[in-house]
Amino acid sequence: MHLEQAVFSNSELNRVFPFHIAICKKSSNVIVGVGASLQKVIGDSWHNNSLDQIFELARPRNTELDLDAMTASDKTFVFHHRFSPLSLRGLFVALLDNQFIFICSVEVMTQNTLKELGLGISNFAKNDPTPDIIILHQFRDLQLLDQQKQIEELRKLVVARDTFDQYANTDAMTGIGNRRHFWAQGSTMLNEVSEGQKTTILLLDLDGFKAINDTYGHDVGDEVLKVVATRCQQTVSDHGIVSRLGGDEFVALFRLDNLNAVGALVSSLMDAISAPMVCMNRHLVVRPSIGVSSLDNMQNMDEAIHYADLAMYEGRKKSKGTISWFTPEMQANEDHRKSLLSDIAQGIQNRDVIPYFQPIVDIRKQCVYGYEALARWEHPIHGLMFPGEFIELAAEAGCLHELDYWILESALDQLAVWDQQGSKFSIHVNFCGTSIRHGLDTKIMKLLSERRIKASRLMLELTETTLLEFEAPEKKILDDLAAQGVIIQLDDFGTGYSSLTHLHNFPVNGVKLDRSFLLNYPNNKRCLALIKSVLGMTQHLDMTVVTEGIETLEQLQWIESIGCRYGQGYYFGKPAPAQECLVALESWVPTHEKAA
Amino acid sequence: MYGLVNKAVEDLVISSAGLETWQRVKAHAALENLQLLDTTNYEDEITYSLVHSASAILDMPVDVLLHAFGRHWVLYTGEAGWAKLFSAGGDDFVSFLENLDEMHARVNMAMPDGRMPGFSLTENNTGFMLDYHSSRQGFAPMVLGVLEGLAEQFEEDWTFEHVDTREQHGLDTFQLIRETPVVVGNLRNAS
Ligand code: HEM
Repeated sequence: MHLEQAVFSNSELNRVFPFHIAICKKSSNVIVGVGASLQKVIGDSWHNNSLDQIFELARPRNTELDLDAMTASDKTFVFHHRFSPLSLRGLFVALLDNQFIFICSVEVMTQNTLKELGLGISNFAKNDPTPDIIILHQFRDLQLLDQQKQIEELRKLVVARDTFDQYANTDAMTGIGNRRHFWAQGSTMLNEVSEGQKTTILLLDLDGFKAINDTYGHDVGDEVLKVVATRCQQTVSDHGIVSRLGGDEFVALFRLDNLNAVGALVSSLMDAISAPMVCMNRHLVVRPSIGVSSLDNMQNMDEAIHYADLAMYEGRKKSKGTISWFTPEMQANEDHRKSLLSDIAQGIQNRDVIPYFQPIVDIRKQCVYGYEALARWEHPIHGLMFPGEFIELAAEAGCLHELDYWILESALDQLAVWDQQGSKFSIHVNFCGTSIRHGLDTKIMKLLSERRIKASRLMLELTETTLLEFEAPEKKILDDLAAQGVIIQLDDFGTGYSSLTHLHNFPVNGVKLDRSFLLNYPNNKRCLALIKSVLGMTQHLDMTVVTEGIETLEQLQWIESIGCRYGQGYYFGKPAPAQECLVALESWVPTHEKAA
Repeated sequence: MYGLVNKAVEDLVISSAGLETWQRVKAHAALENLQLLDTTNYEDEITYSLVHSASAILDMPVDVLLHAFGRHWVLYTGEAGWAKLFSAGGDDFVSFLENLDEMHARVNMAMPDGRMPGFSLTENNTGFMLDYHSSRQGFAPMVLGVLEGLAEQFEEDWTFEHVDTREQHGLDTFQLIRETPVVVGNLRNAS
């Protein structure tokens, strides 16, 4: 059904178009009525006024106020109220009797439009979306605010992350990268393809850095680290990265075209760091030990650092302050070392580590005075091994104490056997510092008394370095042992500080002169003079002196001539298993007879 | 519910007990990192959690807190971004309530994920009855608070009574009675 004609009552017109304007064309476009909401805004000012007098046609521009034409047009018309900020937007419809109605609503110019006009939601027809525009605007404003907040939050997060990264990756002392930085950057570098380039990793340790700290203080030490860091950075940064791993340890990873270039860079790093520096007015020279590994197929950072570390370790064993390059043999040695490390504790438990005995001779009386018990490891696979090959391992494995104690116990057992066979010797046993622990004196005295051995026949041999590290508790143990008759001897005298002050501080009853003094006999006059002076001093202190390393008759005769009473060395016998000792003793010919 | 509502809870806690307490409320609700945004729609769970945590931390029963929240809601919506809309709600208390349903409906246009409450106001011989419909449980104390805040806003004296509850009658209904101002002159005439 089509509606031919619609007739609205005034109130209905108001409900549906509360902003309408009714105009009579016949009476010069005079306004004959307005909607209630429009009335609320413009009041009675419209009475007896034409449309033109109250409203100005704003759009379309330059349009004549011809109601017939405007009604026929499809256009939207906008009128500005001449006396308020109100604008109305709508279209014209024609009624009977030359009456026209402008059907419109408020044009929203700003978010304040409703407020300025004193309008509320209830002033709009229920189907009029005009207020929604304001709501949408407000919602959009809130959205923009939310967006800004999010951006601000994000910015804060990024700044926080950057600052954190900066802190987390920088070494606070030197300002260069730290271990974390190195691991992250380095791992990326290792994973990148390096077209024909050599990837090199380098570890650098400062020699004598502790001494700098101890002598000049940590402030100077810290300055040294900063200078070294800068020099490393300047030398390496064009080709790779440098970081401080901690302490005086630095690491670098770089890429160069060939091994020659790598060598040149490593040398220039060595030169740069070894160059004199002034730190807090101190003129200093530090030398680094450098371990380098330059391989084509380094997979990960752990492996790369491990190689450089091995190189440094091997290099340092030979000499400090050098550059040492990783070789596959180093890895083989390391593997060997590791397998021994895992065997050593078992070896001690299985009694594969046993004492060998080397005679100590009373030169004046021309007889064997005692034996030094020296540990040997009869390894089931690698054969006979010497202390130099396994003492460090035992220390690393934490079983040096067991080893010392076991050698002592079995040496005393052997002494008891010899006692039964009618030979009375003294027994010399080496002890490392860490084995001198609380309760050792009681243990030793128990071992001695169980075997009916007089305490004065046991000589504990301790090195100077060991004594130097002793504090009050260890000294007390030595004092207690000495008080009960055990003899304490200073071993390898002449290799360490060679200071006789220890002889005063500790209950030392004797000294063993290191074998190195007799090396190159008789050409090394200095050493011989030293032996003489030590002898002189110890005689005053009423101490026994054993000269080690006597290998020839001439050496023995010279030692005898200067009045040294005891000697030890291959000339008298090599270290041997217990059962071979007495056999050797029987075939031993005293010096005088040999000389004759 | 839209962040706008949760933000009003936040605003209430911060303005009455401080930022540090709000952090504790969030921590209690296991929402430490929650950064509320007005125009984001959140799970209702979050609103419930925040309200319950605030009630625990401020040591205030939930309905008392919701009541306070209702009063605060008027201030908050009147200021935070919606001020212009609020003023378009009506010129007096009654007209505002009459338009409330339409207001929520129009707001729903901009916030299409909202589940808006419904209100209908009818006049009776003692005053007005306001029916409150909601898809959610438990917000009736808030409505009482909003009504009080609204009356205050328009500087009109009203008393409110929660006459029917959703639990007992299936719908929350409030009786609204306007206090007639006592004029001294009238009293004198009466005596
Ligand atoms: C400018 C004024 C107001 C605005 C813009 C507004 C807007 C909102 C919005 C956005 C919500 C959240 C709905 C959702 O996210 O699901 C809401 C909820 C609510 N509003 Fe309003 N509101 C206004 C005034 C009022 C008033 C005056 C009352 C009470 C008399 C009221 C009562 C409620 C209640 C009780 C809720 C909780 C939701 C529920 O019941 O399910 N609001 N409002």
